Amino acid sequence: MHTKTLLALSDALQHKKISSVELTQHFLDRIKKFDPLLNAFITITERTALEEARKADERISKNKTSPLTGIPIAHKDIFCTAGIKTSCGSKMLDNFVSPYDATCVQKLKNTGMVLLGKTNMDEFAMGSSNENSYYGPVKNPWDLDKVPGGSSGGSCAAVAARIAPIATGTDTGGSIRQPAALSGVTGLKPTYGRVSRFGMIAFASSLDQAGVIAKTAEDVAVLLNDFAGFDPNDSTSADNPVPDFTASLNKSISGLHIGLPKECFNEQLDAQMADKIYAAAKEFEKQGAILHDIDLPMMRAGMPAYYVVAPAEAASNLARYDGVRFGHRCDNPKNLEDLYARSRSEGFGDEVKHRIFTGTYVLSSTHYNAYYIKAQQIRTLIRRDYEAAFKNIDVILTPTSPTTAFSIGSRMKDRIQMYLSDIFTVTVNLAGLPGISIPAGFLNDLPVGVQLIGNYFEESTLLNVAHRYQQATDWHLKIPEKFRGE
Amino acid sequence: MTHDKLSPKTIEKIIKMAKLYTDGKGLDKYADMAHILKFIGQIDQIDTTDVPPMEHPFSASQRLREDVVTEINQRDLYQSIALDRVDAGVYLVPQVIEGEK
Repeated sequence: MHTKTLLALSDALQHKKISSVELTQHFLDRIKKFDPLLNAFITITERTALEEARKADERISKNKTSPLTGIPIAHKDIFCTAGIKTSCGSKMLDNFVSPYDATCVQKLKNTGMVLLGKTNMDEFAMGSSNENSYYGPVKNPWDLDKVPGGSSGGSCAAVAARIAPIATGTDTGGSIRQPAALSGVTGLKPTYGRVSRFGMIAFASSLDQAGVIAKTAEDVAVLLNDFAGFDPNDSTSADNPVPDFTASLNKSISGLHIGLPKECFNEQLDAQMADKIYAAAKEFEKQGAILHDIDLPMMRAGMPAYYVVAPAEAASNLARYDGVRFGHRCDNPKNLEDLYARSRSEGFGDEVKHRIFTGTYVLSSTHYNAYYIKAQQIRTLIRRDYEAAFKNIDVILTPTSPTTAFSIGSRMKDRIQMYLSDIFTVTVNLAGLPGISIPAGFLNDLPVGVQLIGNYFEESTLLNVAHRYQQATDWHLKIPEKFRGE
Repeated sequence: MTHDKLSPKTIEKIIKMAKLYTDGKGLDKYADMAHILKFIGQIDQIDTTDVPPMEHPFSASQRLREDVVTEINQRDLYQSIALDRVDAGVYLVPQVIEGEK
């Protein structure tokens, strides 16, 4: 059951070949068996999952269903879930239970999906390896000594190991696409505003976007149909029509123009990695797509601009964690100042504190124009680059990450090296565009991901292109050896 | 533009503004921030003359809503998740008094 697509599971449920309780129990059993190897979950919601599954079975028996009814899902622990702990991977929120569901959680709950639990992540989504979690690192199912990527590392590892059929994630600079690539799964970051941010704990509000991590592009499309959409509770939510994302999955890509940015395929890219990405491009060409070399000159400014904007917004957003209103509070504060400073110092991990430091520095009155405004001007230039590119092409193709999964601990002492894991993904967030990472082969037995970037609100195009690739290849069907058995 | 060198005094000032450590402890942890500031300082190399700062990815404007009350009173719900800190319908909060030991 754990290898089946969402539509296959839905079909089995609707035709009573399996009940939601049986399906949920199957995944709970797999979580119990395999999660001790991975540490992909922070909270496992066994009792409520089985209750929800029973309710889903009742709905199925009354034919009051959607394609998602009765299918289990795991949510990244950044989404508020009523009555269930939402830690955001932080000691700061270790005791936080939300009184409400995030809008996107609620929407999936309304379909009758079953919550298996909350997945591990880098603290406050700050990281590219999932080593910054208060709950310990997540292991990569393909090699337990390697990182799964981050920050949605728990969700990606869970889907890769088939201990959850599908999962949610968030992406501020690559946090869905990069771990999807390193873990060998499919991960979509929709257009900024496509999915509600209400109830999603904020990191950098102008960049954050919720998305989907799944085995296949088709599964992403099926979930996105209910996950996306306007939300009056989120003032940045886009009031755009939500198409049926499954409708155009099989459309021919003959004549589609795909751009390969020269800036991504230069001498700095590992030659073996480049070969894999070119091979993926060739597959599209085989299906009639037309490849073009394109220029995205501002790509080089993406990393430094991102590490101004994201920490600045993080410093503002995380000011709410003061030891009074939320989460961790230090013992015996001497005064109010001591209460703030010690609660925050004790509650936040090292990376979060460093980013708050950077953010506070760049927002300080003497540096605001030189850093923050300058970085926002660079965002305009990055957007212009993409707008120019999309005048002539439909989709941009790049590597998702410059390397495959790296060893746990190997980059923790070199922040910049760690940050560069997201070199191909951050400009997509800075411009607010949609992007998807799909499995495209292996290097030294570790998964390689290819990234496709689309124009605003063109998720359907990305899913179509990704689906066509997955119809012709089987990289997305590979399961890490340790997790193949029942 | 010249970026500040990150002196111990600057580090201390930023830490204080960010409401992190208040004593001298942990200052060393931020010593490597000079590398990060050098890294982000690369934005200096980009000419942004007459370029407007981005306000929104696709230039959407802030949506406004009617000025009417939409929130319902959820006092009981909120108190139900703070069980050990609620007594007789009021929240029990720790005292925070300046200078208190």
